[in-house]
Amino acid sequence: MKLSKTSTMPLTMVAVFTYFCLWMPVVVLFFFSFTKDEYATEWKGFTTRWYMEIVTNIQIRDALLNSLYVAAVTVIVATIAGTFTAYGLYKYRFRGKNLLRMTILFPIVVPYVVTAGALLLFFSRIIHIPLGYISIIIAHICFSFPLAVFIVLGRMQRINWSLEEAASTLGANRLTVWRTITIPLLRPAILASAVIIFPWSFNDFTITYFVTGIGTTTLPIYVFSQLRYGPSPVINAIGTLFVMLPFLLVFFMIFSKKTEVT
Amino acid sequence: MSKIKKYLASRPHILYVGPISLWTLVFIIGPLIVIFYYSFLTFSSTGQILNTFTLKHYRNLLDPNYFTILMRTLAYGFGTNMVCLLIGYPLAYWVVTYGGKWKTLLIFLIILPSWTCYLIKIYALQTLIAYNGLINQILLDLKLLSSPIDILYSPVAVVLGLIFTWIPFMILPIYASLDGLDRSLLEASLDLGATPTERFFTVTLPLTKGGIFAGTILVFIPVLGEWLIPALLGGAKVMMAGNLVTLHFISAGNIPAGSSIATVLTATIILIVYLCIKLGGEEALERII
Amino acid sequence: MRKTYVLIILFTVLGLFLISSSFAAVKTYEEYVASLENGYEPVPREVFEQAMKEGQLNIYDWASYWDEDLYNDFSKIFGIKIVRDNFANYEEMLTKFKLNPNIEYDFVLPGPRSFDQMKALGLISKLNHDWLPNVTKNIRPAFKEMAFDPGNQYTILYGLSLAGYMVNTSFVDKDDPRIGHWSYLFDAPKDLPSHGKLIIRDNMYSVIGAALQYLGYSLNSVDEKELMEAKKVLLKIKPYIMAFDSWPKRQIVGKQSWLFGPCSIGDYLPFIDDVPGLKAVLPKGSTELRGSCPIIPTPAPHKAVAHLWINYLFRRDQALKHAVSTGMSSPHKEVSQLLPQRVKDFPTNRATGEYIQNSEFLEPPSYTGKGLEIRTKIWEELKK
Repeated sequence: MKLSKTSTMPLTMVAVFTYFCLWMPVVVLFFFSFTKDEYATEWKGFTTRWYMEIVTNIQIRDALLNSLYVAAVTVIVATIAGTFTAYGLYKYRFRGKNLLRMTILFPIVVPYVVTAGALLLFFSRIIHIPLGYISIIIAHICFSFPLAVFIVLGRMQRINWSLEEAASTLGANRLTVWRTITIPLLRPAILASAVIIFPWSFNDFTITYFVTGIGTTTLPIYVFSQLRYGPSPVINAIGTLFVMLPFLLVFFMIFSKKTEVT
Repeated sequence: MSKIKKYLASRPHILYVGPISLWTLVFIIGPLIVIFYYSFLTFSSTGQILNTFTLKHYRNLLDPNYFTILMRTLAYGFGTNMVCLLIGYPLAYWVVTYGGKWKTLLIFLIILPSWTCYLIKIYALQTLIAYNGLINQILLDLKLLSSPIDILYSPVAVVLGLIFTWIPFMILPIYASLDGLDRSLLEASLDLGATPTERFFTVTLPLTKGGIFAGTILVFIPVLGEWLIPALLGGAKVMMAGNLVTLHFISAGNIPAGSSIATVLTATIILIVYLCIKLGGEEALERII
Repeated sequence: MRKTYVLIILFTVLGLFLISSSFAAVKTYEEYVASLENGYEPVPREVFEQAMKEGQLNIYDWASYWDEDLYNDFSKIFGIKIVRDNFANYEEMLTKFKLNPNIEYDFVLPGPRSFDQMKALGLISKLNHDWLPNVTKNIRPAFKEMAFDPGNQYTILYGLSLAGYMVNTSFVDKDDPRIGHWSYLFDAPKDLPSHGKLIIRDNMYSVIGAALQYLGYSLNSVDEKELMEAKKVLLKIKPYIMAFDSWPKRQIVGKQSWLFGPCSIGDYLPFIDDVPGLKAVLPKGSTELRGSCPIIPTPAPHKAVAHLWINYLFRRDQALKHAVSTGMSSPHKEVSQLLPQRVKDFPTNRATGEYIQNSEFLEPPSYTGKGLEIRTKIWEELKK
């Protein structure tokens, strides 16, 4: 199904150009994180000072810990909730099933600003949940469990469910079936959800910006406040670390896949 | 206790979807209803929100200032979507056709930049297209320009930022749908005498309709709600609907006004999703759910 | 096996990360008094002990504005943890309080206008001056009787700054006679190369106020005729505005903008040396008086620490650090003589008493009622 050589060139050029455009800002960011120029606008020599500052600066450290904490809790709750929901949606027919499917789509379809603003209003005027870790985590879960639902649902369509039936016919109760059959079968999807949700929550800015409280500044919020007041290669350094994060997660996934095979 | 067990046994799905349904009702539907309700309240001149019914905020949306912004938002959404499609489709096609065993890696390389904090990406873009940024410097050095061009703080910069941020989300569904094409159909059309071009337009394109519509939903809609990119790359001169919402919610504390814009925005989006599903078929929905 | 090694290393790194040194902090009142330098007054004993019990200070202010050492040194000296949240502008700060009147910040930094608005909402608690001996001892008489808070019941103007504009003279004709007047900002951009890459501050009151002062009117005018004239002035430079931005440090330092105003010129004092040709200009006639008005909100949970902090800010060395890093006119009596020469030469510190008398703070007429309405309309049209 190969087209002639002459007609592949323009296509390949478009492709190469697109890859270049997508990655150039990140590469530039990476290079300028090592410049001695404290305004990150020119190259004035090599230094790792900014990466050191990430470790010594208390505000950055606190922001990093906050982000990790929020992301960790979000991943755990959203993945579990998403898996259960996906299971229920796939296996059973019930009244309101389509309605539930539509509603789960809402956080993805409705713009972040709207839902985040709605949650801010809700927390401050209606339910009176104090703005802080709780509000941020609730908001993050709202937006991320649909991702888990869709990923697990997608996987469920390709699994042979007769294994479950076989197990219960052989006398296993619900819990055992879950433990021995369902979860192992769904493990790749659950892991995939966690791997998608973690960076999503870690990197989130808009939603956290709306519902943050005292002392719950996450790393993106910190970066935003720094961006507005002063240029600094520390932002470049933090940014580079943000880029590294997905790479690490990918390696983790590949690593765990390999150990699974052996 | 046993009654509850019996009830649950006859309706096992409740155990699985019950908690989430409750959560959805309280934290997703609830706030949206609240927003809708608040859009009809009055905002006093002293900054208090009063419980008086008014349509003033919706009427204000017909005011030329706000209306321009809403139209501009739709235009940018549409434009971004089209460009992402025009660039993204060929790219996905290229990866599927020529990627071979590197297909997954190539797609990863597209998705990876979008996993990084998008705030950082915008900041990087900002430094690139600034007046004395890298792009201008390179073009000046190559003597393609006599003086730097002003890209930053203009609508061009905003649209560029939008495309740059959202194109991976157009590429992925199209790739998925291209990848899942039945090769035998494509070969059959060639055997029946179609030229490659004809085959593309009569076979490939219609079969990947679902992917295109899924990509549209994943690009058009978030762009409509964008506020960070216009704020950072537009120099606060290029406002989109999202900026208005943020302005009213966070800067002015005028929740009713912000809510009215949010409601209109949401309604527009639901309409677009509905149209996409109708035109693209259930397939588009299946791609996402 | 390998997995456990990885986990051990991870936890060790995390642990080292988390260990924060709290050595050398004063722990008793006697240590505290003994550690004070000559001339520093201690807070009363019960305040100190209450502060030690409270153990934390929640600050809500600008990022990268005051010298970081002010915060770090306080933490080191008293072993009290400082939690800092930042706002991007006063509107955001006000909205946060309006939506959550009970939010638990101990120390917030509004300006004179937002201070007045917060006071009207009942959000500010009174300062206890018995707990602030450094303030009583060192405050400059001129700072004691500000019109927006006579007697310093709710706040103390911690730093007075003047509005002007920044010009990078390496890109423009430095002998232009309009430099030194408001006319450079409102009239010159059309003649400048690339229109001066003009950035206008994203603040309705300052910008419209500066236009009014350019025309010779009051900053706080509510006269419709005067405001319409100001609108005309602004619409004339509208095509030349590159961006609306309140903190364009990167653009100025990165030479992407050569003209920025109206702004607190003191904000750019730290960059004057790094950017050759950068000049801070105070326009002749009158300008806007600005400043920081630290307050303690009513629901603050750590009021003793907040007072300890304010008392600490009025130590001579801290006030000096603040004045040098922000270019503001200090409220501390002794600081003006101790300033380094380059700071003494900065326009804010060389402004005459008469100039300051002619200049104005933002007052209620400009941000309430008709004044607010007209300004909002002008601003919307400017930004369309």
